[in-house]
Amino acid sequence: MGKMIRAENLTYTYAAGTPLAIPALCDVSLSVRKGEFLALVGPVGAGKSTLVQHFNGLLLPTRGRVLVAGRDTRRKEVRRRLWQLVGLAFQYPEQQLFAQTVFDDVAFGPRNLRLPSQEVAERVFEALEMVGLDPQEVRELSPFALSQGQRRRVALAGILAVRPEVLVLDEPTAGLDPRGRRRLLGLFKDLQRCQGKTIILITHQMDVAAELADRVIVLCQGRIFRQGSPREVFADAGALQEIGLKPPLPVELLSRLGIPEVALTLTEAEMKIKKRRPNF
Amino acid sequence: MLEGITFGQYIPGQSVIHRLDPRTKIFCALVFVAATLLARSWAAYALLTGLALFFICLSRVPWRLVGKTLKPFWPIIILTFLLQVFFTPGQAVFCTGVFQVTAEGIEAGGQLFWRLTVIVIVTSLLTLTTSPLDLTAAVEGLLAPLARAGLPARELAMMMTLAIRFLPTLLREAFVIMKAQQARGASFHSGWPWERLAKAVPLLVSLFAGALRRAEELAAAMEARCYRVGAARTRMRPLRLGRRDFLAIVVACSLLVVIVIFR
Repeated sequence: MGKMIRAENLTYTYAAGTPLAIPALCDVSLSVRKGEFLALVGPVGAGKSTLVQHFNGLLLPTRGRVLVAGRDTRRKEVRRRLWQLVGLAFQYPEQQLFAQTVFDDVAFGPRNLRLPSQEVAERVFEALEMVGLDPQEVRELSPFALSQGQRRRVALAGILAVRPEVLVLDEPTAGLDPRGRRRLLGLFKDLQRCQGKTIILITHQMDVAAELADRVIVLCQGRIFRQGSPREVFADAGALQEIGLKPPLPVELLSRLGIPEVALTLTEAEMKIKKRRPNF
Repeated sequence: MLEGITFGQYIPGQSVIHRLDPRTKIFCALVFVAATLLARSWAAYALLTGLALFFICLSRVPWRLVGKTLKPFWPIIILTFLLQVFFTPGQAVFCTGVFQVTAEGIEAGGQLFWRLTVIVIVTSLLTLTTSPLDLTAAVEGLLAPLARAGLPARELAMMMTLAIRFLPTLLREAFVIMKAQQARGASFHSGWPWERLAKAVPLLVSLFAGALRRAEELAAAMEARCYRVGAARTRMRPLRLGRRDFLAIVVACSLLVVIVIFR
């Protein structure tokens, strides 16, 4: 499997060279494989959002470098086409809608690709369907007439319509109800499994990271605190608690029951408990 | 790009200038601007330039930042300079086509150039060394006499505080929206000026929607804290003039007198 994204000794300082300089990332090295589902977790202010903005060239490293599909993001001609390869959904993307109709908003990306209008429409419809909206029903509506959850989905459709290889999602489910959350997370997993997309998900919910991710990277104060498979990372629940993160529920459950094992889903936890204590 | 905007930015510090009462600073800055506009002689120019540079040293604000605040003003300053140089009637130094450069023009242009530069430096030093909160408190304090004549000084000061408070927030939001659109293939840094203007429209739509939402939330939050228009409020840290302030005011006033006499 090829490396999709590599960061080498990435250091980033906001307002570098002024008295207000704030170090955001410090000597971060990591790589993301093609087709991988990576969860990026960490306390507030750890530098997660700053890190992912390097992946599509919106930010450039103060020191070190970032390679996407083997190409250095510091090169301008690489950066200009990067948005087609790496789709980035910011926090609360629904606040960034701007067009008069849902259709126009979702079509913004494909139109910037200079696709023929036939294909633009195709992609818009497909993307809206993917996020669970009825294209015929919403296409002519103003984005501002929709509910927050629907607007969120429209915003995500706008990114999916570009069909990027890599999808970077910055807390895509914050503020959604449990059903809306499950739906979206299911969609992301499907995109990875069925279409081989690379997914990078920033989340505050360790349960989500445990259940969906192939690999977890924990950031803390601009540095990589832990990285590995969910099983490896969540095995050390104590360390996570120390930096203010809450271990996944199944992990906590087993540790409270005194079972020295790691479970990533509730079903797995149930099985492990039953095995140890058949009459539980 | 966000880092590029320094005008009106406050750089915290402990220098003499930082510790002056903000009312004193506004007063002195106004006096200095008046002196700059009145000055007519080389000696006065030298004195005021020297003082302006001395104030920068006193404030311990990095020189580079002062230079950066000047940057957005260069086009205006240089344009006015050129207009003066080319369109002041007088003895021609040399001619090119319809344009002629006159000795008087060079003099007038140079004067204006110097005045604008010094004024921008001094006023930006005011905002660089005074926190926005202090600045609005000072405006409120200076407008207090007019409040008796019916001017809503408190409300004006509150509006100023809110505007200053939300400037960086809206700016940040604008950058996020820009980035979100860049992430979908928009490019704000290329194309003809009118094309760029067209690209700014969707940006403004999102920005206005956000600003209105924020304003509503803020109004609710203020009401929840019992804010009422016209209510008398006290300050947590009342402004008080110290010996330092009187000294500064005396120096500023005597500077003005000196300039008026020897201009």
